[in-house]
Amino acid sequence: MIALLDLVAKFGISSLLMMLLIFGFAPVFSLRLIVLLYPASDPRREELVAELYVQGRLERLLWVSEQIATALFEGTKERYRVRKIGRVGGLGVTIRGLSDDKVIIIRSTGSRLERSVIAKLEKSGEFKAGRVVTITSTNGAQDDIPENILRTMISSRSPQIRLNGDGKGFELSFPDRRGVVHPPRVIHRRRCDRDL
Amino acid sequence: MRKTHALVQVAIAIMASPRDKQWGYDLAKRTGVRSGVLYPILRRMLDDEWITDGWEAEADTGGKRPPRRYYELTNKGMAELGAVLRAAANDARFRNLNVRPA
Repeated sequence: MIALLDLVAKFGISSLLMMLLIFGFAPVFSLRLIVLLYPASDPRREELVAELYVQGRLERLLWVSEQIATALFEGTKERYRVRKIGRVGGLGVTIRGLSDDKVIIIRSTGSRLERSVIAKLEKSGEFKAGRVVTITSTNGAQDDIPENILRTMISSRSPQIRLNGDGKGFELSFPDRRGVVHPPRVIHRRRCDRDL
Repeated sequence: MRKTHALVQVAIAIMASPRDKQWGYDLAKRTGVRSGVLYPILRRMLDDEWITDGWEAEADTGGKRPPRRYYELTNKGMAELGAVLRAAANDARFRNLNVRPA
């Protein structure tokens, strides 16, 4: 506190306020603006802000200026990718069929395509050609995934998958970064009416 | 993934402690790779399942800062990055990096 008063006496209150502005407020504020270049669902937004807090005050300014380039190239590219894939609905699981044989499921809070989940689903034998999977989202919306699914991509931070004991379906739950598991999206499977 | 100086540097850093959690900023500091290059590399590694990600527990932050995102090497990633390092060790372009194959 004495050191602070010394500084005020030496440089004046305006200089001190300027320093607080430059080294305290500006980096965080600027970074929070910069990360808006990433799509809302991109975990990089939170990641970059969190990384800022582990750095020394002097490093922050330079690091934040570096992030302009990072966000400009990576963020806009991701934004384009998300836009191209499309997002359906703001709640629960979002589904969009890209073509006859590809389906992408995107959760609104994450943009990373979690291919390991697909591998798990494929290994479990739940996804087979000739079936239709009906997905019921927490908001009650239902959507059918076309058969012959080659790849299903589920985007989330770390989705947990649990197969139902009766083998009739499975549940996906999505813990958030605090580890809280949100109500699972129940995915029912039924046979395709058109037997392929 | 294209073998660049940055990728090899990241591979060296990650393979130095393959079982540990890796943090973006920490990796950037250790490797000297700019974050504008590092983060896209990490994203590609995630997409290719070389690494997985997670979030620091709230308790570990002491409530003073937001939880950070970490990355962990997968078995596939270990094999792939090992291959990157082996290839880099025999590549004249990366001689200055002093690559030691894993």
